Amino acid sequence: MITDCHIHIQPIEMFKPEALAAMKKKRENFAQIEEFCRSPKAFLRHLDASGIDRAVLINYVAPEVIGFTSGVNQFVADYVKEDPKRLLPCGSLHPRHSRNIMADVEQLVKLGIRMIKIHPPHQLLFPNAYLTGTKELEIIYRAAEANGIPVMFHTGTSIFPGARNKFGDPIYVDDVAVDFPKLKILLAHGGRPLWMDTAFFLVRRHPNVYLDISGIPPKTLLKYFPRLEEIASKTLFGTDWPGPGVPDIKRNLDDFRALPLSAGAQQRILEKTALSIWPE
Amino acid sequence: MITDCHVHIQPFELLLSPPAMELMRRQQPDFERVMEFTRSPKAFLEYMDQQGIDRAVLINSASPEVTGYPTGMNAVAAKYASADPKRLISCGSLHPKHTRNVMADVEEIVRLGLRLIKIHPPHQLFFPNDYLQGVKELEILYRAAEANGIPIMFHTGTSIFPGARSKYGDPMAIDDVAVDFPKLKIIMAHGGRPLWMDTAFFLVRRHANVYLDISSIPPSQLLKYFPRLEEIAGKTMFGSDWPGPGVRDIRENLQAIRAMPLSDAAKQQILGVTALKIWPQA
Repeated sequence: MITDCHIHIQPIEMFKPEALAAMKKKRENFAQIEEFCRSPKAFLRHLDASGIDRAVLINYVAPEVIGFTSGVNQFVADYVKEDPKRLLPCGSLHPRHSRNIMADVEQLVKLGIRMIKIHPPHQLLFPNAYLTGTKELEIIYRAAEANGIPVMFHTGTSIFPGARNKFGDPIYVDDVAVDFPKLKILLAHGGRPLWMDTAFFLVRRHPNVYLDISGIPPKTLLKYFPRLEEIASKTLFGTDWPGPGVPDIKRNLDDFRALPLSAGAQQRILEKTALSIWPE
Repeated sequence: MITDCHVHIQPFELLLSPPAMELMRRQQPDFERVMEFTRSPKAFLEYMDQQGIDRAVLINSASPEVTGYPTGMNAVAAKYASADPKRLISCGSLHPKHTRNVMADVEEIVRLGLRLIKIHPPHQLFFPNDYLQGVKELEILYRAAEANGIPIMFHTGTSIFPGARSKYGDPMAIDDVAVDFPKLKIIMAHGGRPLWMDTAFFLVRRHANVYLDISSIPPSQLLKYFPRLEEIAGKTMFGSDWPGPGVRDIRENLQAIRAMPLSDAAKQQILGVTALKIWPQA
């Protein structure tokens, strides 16, 4: 049961032109990606061909940088109805773009969202901004913790036009892990390419912090995380496809399998850790 | 004259937070003996003899929220060191958010003759440069330390104590302190390990008043963390952080430093000469 914990199936029509251009760059088969975003059936066939059993479909609200509105939540909830066993919906809220945060949080729970994505460099906030007055964030984390919904943070830089990278330093997730000890936290991309040591520290320091290796080329993975084997039980395989620099899910999976990791560690990263977070 | 600039001998029974106490008990096989040392300077001095240490700086810092260690312990610290002021160097603490009268507390530090002040940002929950954001008590403390020739040691790097917040451990915030208080001697404990060693190295080279304390860095990692240690040996001090988590034995640490591929002069500076500049023989 292999899970790709980080795939972007999103409402393409919401993209701002500059963001869409960044997505299309160096990608010949963009029409196919558009097709997958419209048709879960077609995408499930693609997952079969790629050797992936389950995919977490990452969506987030980022009107300023990407163009996504809170409409992404309904989009992904509808999309996964085709096969809820294999397609796991990830939704989002944006503290500055919610008129009624309590109602919006309730809506996410009602939609059956199985993860909340926070993207600091695109949402233009620090993960711990609840300490400096952004009370909506605290409400989101509190509700996620209470309902057993994990929160994934983008960590590391972003090259989308308008992204602000100071927000990508994972050190600010330390506060969140301290203040919400039962909240499951995923560090997407392990802080690459600047803050891998910080990400590694946080995974080891906090029982509730996990690593999502998506967006890191598998060939660079052990250079970035030479002690990955030690944290395999808290690490999840993910691709970030079709994000910039991730041409193909299957190739990514093959490259990962070729890494000099123990069979046990491979299995934990590809299957078990994700199953512990999202049981079948 | 070998100085260990970072030893935690303090009344641990006052570490009121049970998780902090538990972490210590779990990680320190010599726990009962350590407790004996915190009560008896004589026993600890004998232990120093066995370990090959001439002088020890006795680090403590008030952090009611995280470790539970209370404020108001400066007189206790001074009294312990008074058992042998030549060998035991006292360290005090002042927490800006837990002082009712900062001027009086600063005066007490000076009156007690404390020879170092420890600031622990990840446990005390503020940035070293928070005087720029309205925490005036910090400025008063730094000003008084500077005027009275009392060095300040900052914890730099992460902490794994329950409740610690590691964002405060980035040494970069000390750059402001070194600029604003140019005569204040500043010691960076642990060299920002394991995340910010480059920042610590930069600050030691950039500021005449900034020093490095290598405590709690496993000697086997030291030259990996600070490959150019030889260049800053004149501003570097040996410290163990014993009996802190992950530090089993002072003597072992000391021997490992002696076995390192550093020049004899650099080793001498790190093991004793730099500390003698900061704390001349009493």
